[in-house]
Amino acid sequence: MTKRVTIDPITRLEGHGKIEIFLDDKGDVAQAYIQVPELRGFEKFSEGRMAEEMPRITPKICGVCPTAHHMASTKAVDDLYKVEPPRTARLIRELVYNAFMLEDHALHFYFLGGPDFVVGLEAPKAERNILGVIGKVGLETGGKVIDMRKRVRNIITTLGGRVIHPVLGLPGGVSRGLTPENREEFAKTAKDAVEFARFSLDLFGSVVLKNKTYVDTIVGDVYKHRTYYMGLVDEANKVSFYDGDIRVVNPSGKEFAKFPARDYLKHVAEHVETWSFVKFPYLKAVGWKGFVDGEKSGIYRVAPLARLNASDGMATPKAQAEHDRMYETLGGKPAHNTLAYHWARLVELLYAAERMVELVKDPDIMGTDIRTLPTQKPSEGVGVVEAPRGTLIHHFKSDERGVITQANLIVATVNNAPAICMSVERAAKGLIKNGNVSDGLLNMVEMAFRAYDPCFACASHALPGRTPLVVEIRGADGTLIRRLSQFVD
Amino acid sequence: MTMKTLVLGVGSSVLSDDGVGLAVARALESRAGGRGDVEFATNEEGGFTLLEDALGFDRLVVIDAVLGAEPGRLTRLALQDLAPTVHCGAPHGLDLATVLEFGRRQGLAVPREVVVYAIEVRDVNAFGERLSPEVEARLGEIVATIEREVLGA
Repeated sequence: MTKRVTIDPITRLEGHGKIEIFLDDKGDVAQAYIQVPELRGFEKFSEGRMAEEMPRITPKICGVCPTAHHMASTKAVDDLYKVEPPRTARLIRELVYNAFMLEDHALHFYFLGGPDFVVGLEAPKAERNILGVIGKVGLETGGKVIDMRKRVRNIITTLGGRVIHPVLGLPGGVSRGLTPENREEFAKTAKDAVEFARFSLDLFGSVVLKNKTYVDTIVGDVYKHRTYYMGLVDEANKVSFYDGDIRVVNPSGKEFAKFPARDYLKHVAEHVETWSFVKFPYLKAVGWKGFVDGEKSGIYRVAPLARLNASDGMATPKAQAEHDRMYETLGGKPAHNTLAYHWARLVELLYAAERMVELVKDPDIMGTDIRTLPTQKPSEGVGVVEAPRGTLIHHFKSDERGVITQANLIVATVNNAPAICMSVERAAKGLIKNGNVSDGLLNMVEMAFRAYDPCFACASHALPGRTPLVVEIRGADGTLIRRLSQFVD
Repeated sequence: MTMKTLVLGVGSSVLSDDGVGLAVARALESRAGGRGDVEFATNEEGGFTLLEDALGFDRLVVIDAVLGAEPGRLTRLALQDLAPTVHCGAPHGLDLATVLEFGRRQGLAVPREVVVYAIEVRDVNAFGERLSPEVEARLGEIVATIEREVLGA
């Protein structure tokens, strides 16, 4: 007989994550689970549509990562038509993609991860939000973030139409090229973005790394899991967001597998639990051993820290230096500290900015050949990108006319679901003893959860438009003992 | 100085009833568009972009779906009725009240007046581009009410 603790959005919005903690008879934590709500009927919704429409439809699935879905769909359609875009088109796509990654990572650091570190682990609940962040770092920094975000988004809107409905990607290329004026403006934005990323890393250094309590928390055992790691890499095994092979390393950092996206299902299987809609992915070759870490368990992680762990470094010089500094501080590579995701995210922010500088400088980005017209009959295609939250795969099948017959998306956060369960459980174990729940539970659980920057709402924006976590502690007989919530009372 | 109003429909156009706010905003535009003092827009991103859309307007009228028991029921809310969360578990957690307050503290031109219309729906997780019959049936009445209350028609 187990007791049950539920952390659940008070609004009953299924569009968001839900955490349940089961207690044993003694009132100690037995297991923690995360529920990712399922959007229903995507396959059916897609059937009968033209494949080239998919890059315009999938971004609407999620207001958070529209560009990631747009790009994954675009690449899946390239593959479906077996068409290779010209170099200019690839450069333009990658520029837009890195602009998006930069914007998303910046938003996360300042507004979502920031409250945990910038405001403080022990700060009163009502201050641990973005208002607390700007209270601490100052309005000037707030202004920097707003300005940077605006200019970076301008790259996406200029080339992609609207941010949420990009119309950039076409089978075999892109819908428009750069004008000299664009190039001049984007070059300046990219250069300033490098400065902005440097500034963000410095801020992290002064606020977080100089604070012993924070550093102890980051390297402490509560937030540590030895797992496998997965991420896209280029030919030199450097981190890549837009294209490459999927590489997996073991907990010691040794390459375990490297494969193109289309072989994904050969390497990854899904474990199903009776109590959850969520399918928990694991490495087939290792096997499912339950929610445990270590070399013998098939659980792997994705997203910033996992991408860095799964690579041999960064493809740009400043980001590489920061990469080295991070691993030096954390005691070597790979790093297993969940909270280091925040740090790795900033290293990636710098990489995205440097990469934008490189892309805008590349003479080929001004080419006029921006599309290779498909000539082959379509049948099946797979596209992959690294979304801010991890590896994202779109897989389409079509008839000879290019009408979709099957569509499947493997979204980033699902890859991290088993690890999020473990992280939440670890945090809860320290704070729930004999059925007594410490007040710090919500913060601790949340910090573990938020480091992954999970996105469960690849979905709705229905009011109240937020993701509060609510903890429900249930006794062995299922009765509610206590409820903790993030709402300001 | 006339007061400038933004009527903003929020939701997703591919998740069935989650798109009701978008549909209402578009219907209002087709009836009341062309007035110099009112602009109409839709937002499928939420979060921080709500602030970006609202900048420069004196009044913001948000129309969005809310999970509830009676599909199509319309409730008018003030910003303070949306209890603020302390912070959030995901990017979607940047709620309207918080992003507007952030804008205010940054000294940006945030609307002085905010009205929120919540339309009850049962399901926002099923793919589809059409509203459910229950919600569809009350669309005309919803549009007329909002038009009367905020556009003075």
